[in-house]
Amino acid sequence: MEHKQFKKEIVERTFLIYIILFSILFLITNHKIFPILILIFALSGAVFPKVPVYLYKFGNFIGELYTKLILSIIFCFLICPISFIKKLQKKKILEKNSFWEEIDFKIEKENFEKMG
Amino acid sequence: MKPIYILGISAFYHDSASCLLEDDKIISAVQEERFTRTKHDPSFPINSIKFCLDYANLTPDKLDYIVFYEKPFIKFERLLETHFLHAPKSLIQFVQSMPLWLKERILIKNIIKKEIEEKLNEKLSPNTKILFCPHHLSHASSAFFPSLFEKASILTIDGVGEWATATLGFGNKNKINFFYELKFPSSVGLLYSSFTYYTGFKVNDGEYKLMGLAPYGNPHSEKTKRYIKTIKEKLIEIKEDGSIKLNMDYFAFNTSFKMVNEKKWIETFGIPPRKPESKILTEYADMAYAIQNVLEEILIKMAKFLKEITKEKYLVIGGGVGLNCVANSKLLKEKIFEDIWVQPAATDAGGAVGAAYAVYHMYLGKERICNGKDKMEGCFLGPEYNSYEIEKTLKKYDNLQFYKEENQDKLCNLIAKLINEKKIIGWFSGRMEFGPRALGARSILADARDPEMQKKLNLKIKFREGFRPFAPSVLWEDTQEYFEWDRPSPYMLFTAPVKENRRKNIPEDYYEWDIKDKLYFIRSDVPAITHIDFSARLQTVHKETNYKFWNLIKTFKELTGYSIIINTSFNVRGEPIVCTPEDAIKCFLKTEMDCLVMEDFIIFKKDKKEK
Repeated sequence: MEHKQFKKEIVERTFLIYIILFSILFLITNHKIFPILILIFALSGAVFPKVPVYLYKFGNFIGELYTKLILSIIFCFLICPISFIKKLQKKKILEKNSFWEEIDFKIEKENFEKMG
Repeated sequence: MKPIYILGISAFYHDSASCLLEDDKIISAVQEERFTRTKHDPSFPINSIKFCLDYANLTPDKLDYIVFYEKPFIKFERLLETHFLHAPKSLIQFVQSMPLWLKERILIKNIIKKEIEEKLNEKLSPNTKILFCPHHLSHASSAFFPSLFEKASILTIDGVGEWATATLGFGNKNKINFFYELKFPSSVGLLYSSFTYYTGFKVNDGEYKLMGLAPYGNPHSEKTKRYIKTIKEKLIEIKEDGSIKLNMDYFAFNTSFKMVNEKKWIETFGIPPRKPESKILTEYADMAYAIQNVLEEILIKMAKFLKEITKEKYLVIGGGVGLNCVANSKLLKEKIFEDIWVQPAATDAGGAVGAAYAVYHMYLGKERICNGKDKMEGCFLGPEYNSYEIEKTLKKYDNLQFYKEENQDKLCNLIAKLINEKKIIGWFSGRMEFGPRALGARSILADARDPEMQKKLNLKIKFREGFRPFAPSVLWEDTQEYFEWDRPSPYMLFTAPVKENRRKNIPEDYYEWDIKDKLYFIRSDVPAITHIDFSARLQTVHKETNYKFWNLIKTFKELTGYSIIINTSFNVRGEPIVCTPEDAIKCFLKTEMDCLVMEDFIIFKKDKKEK
């Protein structure tokens, strides 16, 4: 039972991740294929609850490749351009006497409550 | 007044652990690896949490605070930034690490709640707050708050936390302030780990092996001098204040899963990376010597700079580099600070303790009381087992012969006799140690006077590299008979030179010798614990905190005149230290240990006893 539950959660999570990734891709590329894919995924998941399971099983084989492919696309379309811009903006590092940086972190009560 | 219960958790990098505080007292602390039997287990420490709660007879809903030892969002930000900076080289690392982060690590708050509620079948109270403590504050807090000092300078230094890789700070009563930090990728810990990798040991595991290998290097050879020069001129830039910058052309840890740019290292050092398990050539020992030397130089400079800022008498150290006992001793020898206290579980495991203390003293503002003793309880913070549980386990094995000896003096007499007869003893007593060192609760004990013992223990009991040294446990009151050492060292975090009068003269060409020849040269009248450079990583055993173990060594002294024995962790290579009686028996049966003592039980293998 526990294993089943665990498997179900993995399936749901994987499914959710696909949807999130499609959303991110849509935000980046603004291509309408992604909302369509999201809709198909969401609807198929809602109407045919087994779809995510099939997709996951299928995904066992392809899923990893698929996730990696999507991440690679994000990498190429998002990370690389940002990286390029950052490198262009990179200022020439001046000769320093120290590599220590002063800490701007304030140890306040609220700070413990945040994850970041 | 109702006590406050705080659960500290460290997880998802290496050495997951949890710690339970009842007000400012550590009730329990244990690494997850001890339960799952996976060394340095990074998984969520649910078994450890379960133990901590059971030990205190608490249910999860009684917890007031749960605190995670780092800030996941900031760490995630660092990962993304690193990918931004190094694209497209970082593609593979990005694709591999992102799913893990997106699926679980970034949702840590939910994971903590879910894991505890589902695996322990109990709901958390709606009033239980889940908090997050910055990684290096966890280390600083683990080093300062449990220490015996009311005020102290704080140095934390490890591979990397969120962004920081080292911090300089100051602790006063219940407050910690930081002044400076070194940021990723400038990391002393990662620099040292790069050499761990290159000399054929496992990163985040083999650093102490590299430290143990260093004295086999020849300090006078041209090669060693060249290595030191190369490290300082090409690999890093060291400033007078101890801050460093890595030349990232030589390192690969921010763009791949490798630590170094091998091509560049081969060109620079002229030797390829050592294959794990292959023969250790003197070049690698020289390399180990070189990086240890550089590490010490950096730490000394950092400490001097910190002293200039704080003008404090004492120093506390947290973070994985704090386990480098050779460097700790060099720092002490420099007399920059009068005394140094190092968190015994200085790696991320100790982060669980630090995070919990940070909540108690800094988040809640509770007073800190110093009574001249540290709060680590000798590190005996793990599970213990009673006679009934041990006997029940023993009865499952028909290849064991055992009997109960409730008279502790008689038990110590017998074991001291066996050690004197060069027998090797498994010693399982009381609460298991927290942290990487065995301190007399889960230990393998043997005679330090036997010249063959180091070889025998390494090859037949621990199944590990022959060059690895063994640590001594010595009665605190007799420490100065054996070592040039004047202060307690209950956690094996310092090395001390063996007394001159106990040393044997070394031949003039000793430093030119091959590693094996050096290893088997008898260096003192306690050869099994005298390292190649006449040092030993000593544990002083105190009657007040470790009575049973103290009594055993005292009995050994009455029998032999020597109040010193070998104490090495109760495990075999690649496995965590034993936790349960079952683990201990399995380890006992797997090795050529002669006798096992578990609380009142004295156990032999049937065939051995018959002989």
